[in-house]
Amino acid sequence: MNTQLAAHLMSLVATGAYPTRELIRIARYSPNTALKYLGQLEEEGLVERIEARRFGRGRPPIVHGLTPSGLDQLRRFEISSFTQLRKGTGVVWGPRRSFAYWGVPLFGRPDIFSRTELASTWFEVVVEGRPGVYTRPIDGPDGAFPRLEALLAWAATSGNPRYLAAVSVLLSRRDLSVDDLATLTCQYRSVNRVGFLAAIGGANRVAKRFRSTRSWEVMLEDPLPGDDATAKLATRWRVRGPLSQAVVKEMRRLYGSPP
Amino acid sequence: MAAPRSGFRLKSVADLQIWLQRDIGSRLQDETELIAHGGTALTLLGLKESSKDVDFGFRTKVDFDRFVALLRQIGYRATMDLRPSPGEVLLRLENPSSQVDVVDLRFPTWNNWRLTQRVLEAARIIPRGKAQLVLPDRDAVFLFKTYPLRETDLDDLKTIIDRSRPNQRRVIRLFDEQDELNRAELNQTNVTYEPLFNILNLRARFAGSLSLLGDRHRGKVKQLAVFSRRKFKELGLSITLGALVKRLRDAERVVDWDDIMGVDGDALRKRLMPHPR
Repeated sequence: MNTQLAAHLMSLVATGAYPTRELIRIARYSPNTALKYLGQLEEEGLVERIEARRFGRGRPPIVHGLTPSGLDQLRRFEISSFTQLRKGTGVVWGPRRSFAYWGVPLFGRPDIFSRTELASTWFEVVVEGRPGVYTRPIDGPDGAFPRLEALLAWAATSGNPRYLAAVSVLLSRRDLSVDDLATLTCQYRSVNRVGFLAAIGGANRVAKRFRSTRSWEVMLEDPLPGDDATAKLATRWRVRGPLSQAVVKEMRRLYGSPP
Repeated sequence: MAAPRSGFRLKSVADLQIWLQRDIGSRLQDETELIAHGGTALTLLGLKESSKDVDFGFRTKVDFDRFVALLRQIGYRATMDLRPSPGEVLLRLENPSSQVDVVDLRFPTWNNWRLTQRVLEAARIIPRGKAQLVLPDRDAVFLFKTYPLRETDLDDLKTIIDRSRPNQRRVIRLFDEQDELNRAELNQTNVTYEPLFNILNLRARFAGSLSLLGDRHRGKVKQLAVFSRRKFKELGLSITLGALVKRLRDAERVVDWDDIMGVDGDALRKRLMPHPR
């Protein structure tokens, strides 16, 4: 059995409750190959077939799920694939996986930061050419993660509201190096966005240290009408399309105050 | 330099499915239907990442109570108990030692949306022991996501449009059904909530979400944009959609629909009542 192909199929099974036909479509293997591998993974007790039902008419679909040992196996695959990739291309874990590592776990597919597009990986690739996230990463048995300060400086530029809200949560961490963060936000040109997220999330240590730059920064592509408090802070920090206070509050309620 | 927090890792659909099988489905005594909603549904459909709270809705109080009782029994504690709208319960239960540590449960509606046969006709029912996980289809999830008007939900709508564009005719059919259900209740006296406010809420939020998507994404669902705008205009409110959306998005303020309708409330009610056939 081709280990990479099996790992890819298992990773897809782990990231959605797909019926067989859809799984084959997104895996982009021939139906014969995909079915053969799924059958073998089932025999090994790594994947299970679940007979789903419908309310309406139509054939009941078969949905695939990982078994607990399948999930353990997939995690080992992930680490070994990542380690190989890192050796060859210097990738680090991507934002989703890194936010979890730093204390804001999300549900989703594992991802990596890479300097270039990578065709031969089943991780979601976030192409990032600037050096920040690759510099002095935290390297451990689970792979290499961007430093927290680098992750936050980058995520402030992501335009992804969940990542932005996660930044506002993690900016309150007491062990965050504000000096490092200041340097990295200059590299990423995200000084104003990070300052705004610190101010709106009550991360006073960061908000007091940061000063807004002269040029305006765009946080969200399509600006939304917001509350007065958000608008006032956005003007003060020269941020267009700011994340609203309501989303930040909700995220803080969900993830709690960091240590 | 900051040090990582131990024990946290990215969560996956596999974690959720294994939790449902091992911790929930195998412990339930009777079949219990739970409907995946919001970010949880999107994640199960493989469309988008979501935050760590898992969203389930229930059609019956029996299922809701049974599920809550089981979660309490296995160590979950209620940390939030709200009525986001009259007649709707939102209960958050948490157990920090579980991989699925935050569970949000709603009954009997989800953000005012009803779980009708039409909504569920394209759903998949995935049995996990005695737990019957219902996964609505993309179009139902798309429609339901137009309610909150938060940045995260609008971003989810854009992702759905980019990755798997909704069937606009079906979304319209689903919206019409919800609208008609509320309109049919306008002349009933035994309802615990004001159906007129539900109609206003759903129409304004639907049109509002479409208007906030930005030109690029709105252009890909033109039919929905035009339809939602027409539904809002039919209300004949004196307030503009933009101004109303600004009020609805302000979490610090409660929207006073009586104030928004002004003296025309009764006329609007009569106009929206279904005509006898």
